[in-house]
Amino acid sequence: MPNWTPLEVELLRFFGQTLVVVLGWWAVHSLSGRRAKTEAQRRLLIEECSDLIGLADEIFASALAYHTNQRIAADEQKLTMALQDLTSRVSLILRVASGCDLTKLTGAAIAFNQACTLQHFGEEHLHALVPTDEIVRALEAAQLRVRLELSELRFSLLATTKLSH
Amino acid sequence: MQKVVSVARDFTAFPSGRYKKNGPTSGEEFRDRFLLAPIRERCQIVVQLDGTIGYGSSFLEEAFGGLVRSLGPESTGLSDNLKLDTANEVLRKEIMGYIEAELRKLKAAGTI
Repeated sequence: MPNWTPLEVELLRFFGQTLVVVLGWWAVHSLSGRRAKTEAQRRLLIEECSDLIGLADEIFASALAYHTNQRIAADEQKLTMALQDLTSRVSLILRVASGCDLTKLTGAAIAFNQACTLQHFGEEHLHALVPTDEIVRALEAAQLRVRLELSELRFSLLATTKLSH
Repeated sequence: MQKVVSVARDFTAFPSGRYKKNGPTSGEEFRDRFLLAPIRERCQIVVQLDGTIGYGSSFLEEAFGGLVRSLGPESTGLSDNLKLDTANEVLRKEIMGYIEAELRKLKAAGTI
């Protein structure tokens, strides 16, 4: 044991306590920062899911009008662009929400794209379809599926989000 | 040898339609002009998909599912030689779905 003066012992105690306080502050700050980031990301995803449900509804309305009326070629481009927007944003969700199993959402987005543009699209649109046509029915089912998957993700994220007052 | 094809730069930013009779920007046209020959020559081809307004499924099915149908027994090794470059994971999975569905049909028929 070195022969320390009382002043040195006091200084050592002071620096020791300061170090403990600084380390404690850093640990608490970094933990709460990480928590806040996760929380913000979760809220953003919840908002994105709600927006995408709205977008899916708009696409469905446009696709339904397109398939059940005489062909309007200009609407095909709008529909393609809107679907590109939807699938790109679902892809971003896949990248961000890495902890969630999003296989069903991916499948639903693909099925929705197919229901809108795989058949009776472009030059294959020869006449307006009746509402009971299989293609129209498939479109309705695909919209419901994509809505359901987005809602499920939204509610699973909501369930783990802190309620703010 | 590796070839890189950008749909937006080398073909069109507005891909549409399934067959050539549907217009010059169809899936069949894209497949025949850019995909068939390099795959037959066993070149690795990278298809850059981003930069267009989007893709109708009919275009994608004919371009990529149709690629397997056109190649028939030559489709073996297709998944090693065809690379899809896109930030849109949903789009990549949709295309892979068309390729795999056609490969399954060939396998079931005993063609490959």
